[in-house]
Amino acid sequence: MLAITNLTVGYGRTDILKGLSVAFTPGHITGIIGPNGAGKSTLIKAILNLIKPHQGQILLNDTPVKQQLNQIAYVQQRADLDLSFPIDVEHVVLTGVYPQLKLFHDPTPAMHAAVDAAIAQVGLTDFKHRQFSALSGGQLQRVFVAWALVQQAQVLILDEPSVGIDLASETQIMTILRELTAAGKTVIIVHHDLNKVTTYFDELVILNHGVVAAGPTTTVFNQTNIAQAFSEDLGQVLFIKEDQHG
Amino acid sequence: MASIQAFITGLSQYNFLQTALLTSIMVGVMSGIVGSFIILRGMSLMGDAISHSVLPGVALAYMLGINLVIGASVMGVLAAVLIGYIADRSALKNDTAIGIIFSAFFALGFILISLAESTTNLHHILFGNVLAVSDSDLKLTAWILAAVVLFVVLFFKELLISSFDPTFAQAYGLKTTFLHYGLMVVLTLVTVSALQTVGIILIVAMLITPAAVGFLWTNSLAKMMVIASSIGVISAIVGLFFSYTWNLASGPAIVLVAAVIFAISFILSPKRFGNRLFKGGVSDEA
Repeated sequence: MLAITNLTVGYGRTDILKGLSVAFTPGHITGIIGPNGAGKSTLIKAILNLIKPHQGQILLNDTPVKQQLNQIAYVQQRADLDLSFPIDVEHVVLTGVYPQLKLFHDPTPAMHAAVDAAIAQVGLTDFKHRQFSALSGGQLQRVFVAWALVQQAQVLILDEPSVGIDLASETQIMTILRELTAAGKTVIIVHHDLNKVTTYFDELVILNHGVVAAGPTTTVFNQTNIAQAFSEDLGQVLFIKEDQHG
Repeated sequence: MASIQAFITGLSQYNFLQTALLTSIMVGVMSGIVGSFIILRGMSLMGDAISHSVLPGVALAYMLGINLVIGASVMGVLAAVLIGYIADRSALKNDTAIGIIFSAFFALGFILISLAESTTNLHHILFGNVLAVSDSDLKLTAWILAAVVLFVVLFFKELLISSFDPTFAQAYGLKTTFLHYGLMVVLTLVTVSALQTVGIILIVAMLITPAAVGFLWTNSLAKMMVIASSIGVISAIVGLFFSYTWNLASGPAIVLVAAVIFAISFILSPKRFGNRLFKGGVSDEA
């Protein structure tokens, strides 16, 4: 279990998140939603130890996460990567094993086999030697999922994975993530598309500088919480529409 | 054809020409390797800045009689640290910090050189004088080449991942700052060996232009470095040939050959703009 207790974190003197406590349980896909600037990215950076919390604890199975960062695989937004970098699909996925390698060591044959298996699992074997930038959005996202798979981490965090990708890739990725949670992994997805929340997430965390609501999606995803985190209008539009369609 | 024969005859007759050619070739190899990382990390301006910032180190080394490599490295790294410090501790952008520091270092170097009143010719430091390379310079360049190759071979995967995905590298605990300054040290070493072949002002061209050609032709970092080094070597040989034949300044001749190779590559390359590959853009089907 990834447990965050009383987390206060931000940049300089500004606190983006104050006194946040939330837990992510293995075997579930948890969605994190919230308006722009709610602190979703900040929360993830804190988990990854990229920014130092002012206060609070982040524990994975009762041990501080920063002592076991290789147990967290983080798939960042595609826009944050240099897509023109001269590297092919196979080698992008191969970088996923780097955290397991010591200085001056090369990937083992077993690692290469794991890379091939992961590429096959996301259905990109034919694209193994394809330049990274010559892929569609959906294929790229599948490359990153393969990359996350070879890290063999207990926790997978994906930042906006469904932005600009095709439906087939999205479905395929969700299937793989379901397999991972069935195997006892923790999957966390930062999400912006409120329409698919109930389809994709078992658990939901609604964020706005702190936790607005957290728990099973079916109970947490309601008009009151959305109105509180986003706006009254959005809450009404989203849920009235749903009522009308039954 | 006659001039090529004359060049080859010259090579067999004159020791200085052999030394010049060997040094230029080695500088071509190392600048291709280091330049690949410089352009992939978006540090072209930084490369220019560090090579200029080496000037006061060179001047001090002449004045105090200390080793050139030490003087240059200290100043190069000091400039890199100051640039990093200003950019991190203020709202100023990185390129602003670079502009302030490197112009100040260069100005200081200029004044120190003129104060030194040594036989050192400022013009030669700035633009190179490859025909005056001594045997000890040649040896120094060979050592630096070995150091550069060793650095890149030993830290290849770390350099790759910190260039490609610095967030991931940092998140899994890689010492990205250490690698950054390591690369800066290597950059100053390359600048020192290039002092006499192309000079301080034009070394940035040897770092960036061959690497850019490599980038345009391949999708693999290792191959990019091989292509960049080869282009560096070809530019060195052809440039030196023009320099010898028509009595042109060697540094600018080498740099212009590299630029012509880039121009041809740019026109023929599969990654030219207009092609979606070049922008790294992705067409989403959704």
